[in-house]
Amino acid sequence: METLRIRFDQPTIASGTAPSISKASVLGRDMGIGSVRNVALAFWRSSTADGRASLIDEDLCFSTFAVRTAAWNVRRYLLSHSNYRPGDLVVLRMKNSAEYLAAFYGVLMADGVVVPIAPQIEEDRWRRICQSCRPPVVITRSRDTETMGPSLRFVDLDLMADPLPPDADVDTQRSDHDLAMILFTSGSTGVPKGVMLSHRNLLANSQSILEYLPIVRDDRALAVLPWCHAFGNSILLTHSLVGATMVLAGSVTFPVTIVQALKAHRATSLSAVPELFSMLLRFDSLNDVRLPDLRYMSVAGGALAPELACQLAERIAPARFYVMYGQTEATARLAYLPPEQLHRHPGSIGRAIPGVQLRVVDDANREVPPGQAGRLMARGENVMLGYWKDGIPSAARSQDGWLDTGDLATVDADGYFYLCGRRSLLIKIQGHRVHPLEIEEFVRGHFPGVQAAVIPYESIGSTRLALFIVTGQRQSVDDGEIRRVCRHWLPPYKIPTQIHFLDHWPLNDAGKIDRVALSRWLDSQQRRVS
Amino acid sequence: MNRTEAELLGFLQDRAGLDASFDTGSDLLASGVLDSMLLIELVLYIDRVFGVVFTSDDVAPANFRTIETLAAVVDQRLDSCQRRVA
Repeated sequence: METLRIRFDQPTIASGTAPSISKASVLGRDMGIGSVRNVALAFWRSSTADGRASLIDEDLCFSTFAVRTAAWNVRRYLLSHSNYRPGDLVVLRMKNSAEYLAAFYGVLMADGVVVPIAPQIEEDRWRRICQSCRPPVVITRSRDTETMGPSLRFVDLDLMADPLPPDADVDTQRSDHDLAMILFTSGSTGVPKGVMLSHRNLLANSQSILEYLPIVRDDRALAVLPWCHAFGNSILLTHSLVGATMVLAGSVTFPVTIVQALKAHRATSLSAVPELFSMLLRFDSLNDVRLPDLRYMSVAGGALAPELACQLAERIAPARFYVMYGQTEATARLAYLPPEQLHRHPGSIGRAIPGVQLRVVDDANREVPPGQAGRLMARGENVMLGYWKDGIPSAARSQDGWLDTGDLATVDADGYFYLCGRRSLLIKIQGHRVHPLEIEEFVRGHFPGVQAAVIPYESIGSTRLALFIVTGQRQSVDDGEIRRVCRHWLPPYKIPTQIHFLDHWPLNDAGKIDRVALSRWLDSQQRRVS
Repeated sequence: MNRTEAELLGFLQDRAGLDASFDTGSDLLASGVLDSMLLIELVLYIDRVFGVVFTSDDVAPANFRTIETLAAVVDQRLDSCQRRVA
């Protein structure tokens, strides 16, 4: 495995200075991304721009032409690489950046498969993914310093070293149903799963999103969501494919910096997870702030309390607020609540987006009447090809193409859907899918002989984790040591907020750890505090 | 280390499992200790223990760089309250 470290040596490519090339057609929202054969071609068409900004990273501006040139150089590098063959998996391990954009489209233009990985991934998860994907090349940024595991050699590439040849063209061979990317996420059993998405999946979902969200070429979206996850990836695709601008600024840790970034960059939209919106409201960050350029905000990746959604909608009016729902297995998006329906259908995830069908069924797969809870199923061109190396590639889909979302839901008489639980133990935290087992196994691995259970609870507008510990007779583990180990090895969203020691587990009728009882106990503690 | 710094360090040690080398001058942001979830708890803790309420503008990176900078903000706020009372 080789690590390719990429960088822009001429960082300031002011949007006005890029050479003007032919004003060929740019894919707009009406031009039908859905009809293009693959993502590389769609990008190639959309980026023949007149020097407009593709990405603003604080004070640096990258024109669409610069990104196009950089992607071309990534493509050229891969195609000249002795170990690379079209169809190979190429891992991207980078933060949101111009380099990420260049690598993302460069790999697709070289007929490769993009496997984006969060820079802060745990070491053993990283090793497992590398073993499973065997990428000939891992692409990272020269300025990042994360350790890169079992790399055999490092190669540096200046993304602007070679100018784009005037006759450059993308002669990509990949078609509709070929694999385009793999997104790793937590599976319902706690084992990480690679969701395989085709070019068709990505383009169809982007097209659907463009039909209900007002994304246009002169948009400047504040891009705070990581592109290596499904929600962020959908922002990247929809905006870059219509030639809109994305802005990287502000820190989600400090809500005031997000508001400052919206103002300073005259951003037209903000899409984020519920936790950020509750922070904005809790700290009154949006009070007395004028955001005349803001067109809309959108939330997905977990549930935002209905009263908070309404407050937020009022706070940002006349800009609109979209509540949305989706999952990685459906590329990104499945449902949205039209902003004008927010007050009439509080708590709803909305209805299916264009091109998607949703229904609620019982265990015999029969559609249930309105108001009755059942399994939420989805069908559409955005439903994944299957899981990577899953043996049964279509395990999550029934024969007629319906995806079992794993969520329980009801539908009302007007056709609006409401979530009412999950059938597995999966937890959503800050938009990340986490299975309790991942953390329980981690704790057991570091403290042999210790038993652990991780239970989610709600506090201060976000989902948090409580870790329960039962130690063996001879074991002595202290709270501080567990916290130190978690802090050192786990990404922040996986670190338990509370740690409790028990003498023995409460057991349910099946003789298993009674997670419901633990959860109820946590809720009662929360109520006492507040 | 003054009392405010000691209180804040104690809270963060409890909650974040800081390394022994972590002190009141260590960078809370670069080290990744302070994420959005811990930040909000810290703000509530400061409200509860010191009676100092942080507004949106106060919850800014400059104030949360280190325990020292944060304690200085808290102490300054307490000071100005006392002066007003006096």
